[in-house]
Amino acid sequence: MTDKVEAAIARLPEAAANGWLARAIEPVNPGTVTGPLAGLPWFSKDLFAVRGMTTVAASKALADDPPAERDSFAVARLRGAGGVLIGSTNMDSLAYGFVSRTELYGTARNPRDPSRLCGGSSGGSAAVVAAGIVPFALGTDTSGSIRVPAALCGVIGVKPSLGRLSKSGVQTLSPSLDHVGFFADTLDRARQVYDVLDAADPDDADQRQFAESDPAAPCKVGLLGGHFSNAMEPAVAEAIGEAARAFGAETIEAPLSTRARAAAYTIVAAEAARTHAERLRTRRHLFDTAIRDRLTAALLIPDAWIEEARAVGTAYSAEFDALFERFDMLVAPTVPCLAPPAEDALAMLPGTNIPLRAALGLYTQPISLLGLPVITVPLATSAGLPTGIQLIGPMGSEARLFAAAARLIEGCRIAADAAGTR
Amino acid sequence: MDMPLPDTAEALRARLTEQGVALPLEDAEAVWRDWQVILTFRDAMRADEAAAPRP
Repeated sequence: MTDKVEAAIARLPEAAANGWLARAIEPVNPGTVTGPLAGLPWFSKDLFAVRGMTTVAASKALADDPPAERDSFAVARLRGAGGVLIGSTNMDSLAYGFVSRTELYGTARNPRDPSRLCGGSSGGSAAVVAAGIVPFALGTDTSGSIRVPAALCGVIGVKPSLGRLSKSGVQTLSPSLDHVGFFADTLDRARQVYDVLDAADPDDADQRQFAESDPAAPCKVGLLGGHFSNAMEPAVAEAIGEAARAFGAETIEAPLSTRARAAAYTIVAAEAARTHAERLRTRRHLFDTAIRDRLTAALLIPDAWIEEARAVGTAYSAEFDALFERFDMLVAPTVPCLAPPAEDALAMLPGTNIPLRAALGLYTQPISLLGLPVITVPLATSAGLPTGIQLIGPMGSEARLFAAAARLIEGCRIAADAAGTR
Repeated sequence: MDMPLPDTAEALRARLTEQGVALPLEDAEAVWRDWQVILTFRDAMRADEAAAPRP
């Protein structure tokens, strides 16, 4: 047993007490593993298949499903690289939400301030990295489920291009918008984990190959305004302004962003309801109440609306194609507010009548509709809690985004404070 | 385009009741609050339809 694995396992009770842990997993003997991640402890999200265990997705409705016969592709890759899996993390039930509060595992509390939420749906994974228990953890991102908790907890979150990383063995929420990604304590670690996960999977028909971008190429940066400045808390705006200045970014607008956000929201609601329609009929009493009611109502969304929402995506994509003619990378805030209080899940976004539960994806959902790669880099704020900035590139531009994130951490004090010193 | 979604939390509750799902009004109102984003999408589609040239 390596010291790192022993130290992480010793903190499992703390992870459970704070609502971060779904289930502990018996680790392999770290002395038997080799590879680039050899001996590093890590957590998976409770949404990834782990051989011999049921994929519960933080829902009693799935708890009686049969155990997985094999690891999901991402879990197998990380184990194959020597990473030592020690547990799965709490999340929003079925990955549908932004608060990581479940009837099975409780509320995931923010390690930066336990009276606050850590966001979701991959909230437990962000928290165990932010708390320093493990250096990295797996997550998924459909509407912002990696980016939102990464920003609220102050860690690096990586959502690669749609289809880049295999989804084999991952419980589906919204088939057309689900992404696999992860959290990391440092940018170097993020790059290391990305290199392990970025591999061809013959079992994933949705996986796509991309030409590599040039990380050394000049990078002209645009700051998305308009929709991406609506309802933003002053401490977040201040931090985003400082980071954008470090990039020398010019403020621009993508006029379809508000409609694209609503379209993404509609697609995810409709697809999630259809994904779980049979379980809603046969195991209705086992769903978390809030999720059950929202999914049931979303069954009323007509198929024609999904098509209309996809058409918005096509138009929005053309808008971004034009922006990428002028800019190599776009940046935007990740979240409109700092981590909200944990005890008030129905609270409104400050200064609005938008429920926080729905509002935390305000700035991530438009980008989800496009499937573009995003790295969210944590930023320190004057309010003491972290926030994040989304670095957004054209499809397949992950290498360029990693390089840009490194420049930001080197050249911007509040990024270095939040991400450069762990 | 067919847009059969209800216009109020009470109407949403009634539609779900028709489908065999009985929600307390308070729960229907909670869903309704989450639905405001979806309703903006519906309203935008309605506006597009209204603005489209008529044959």
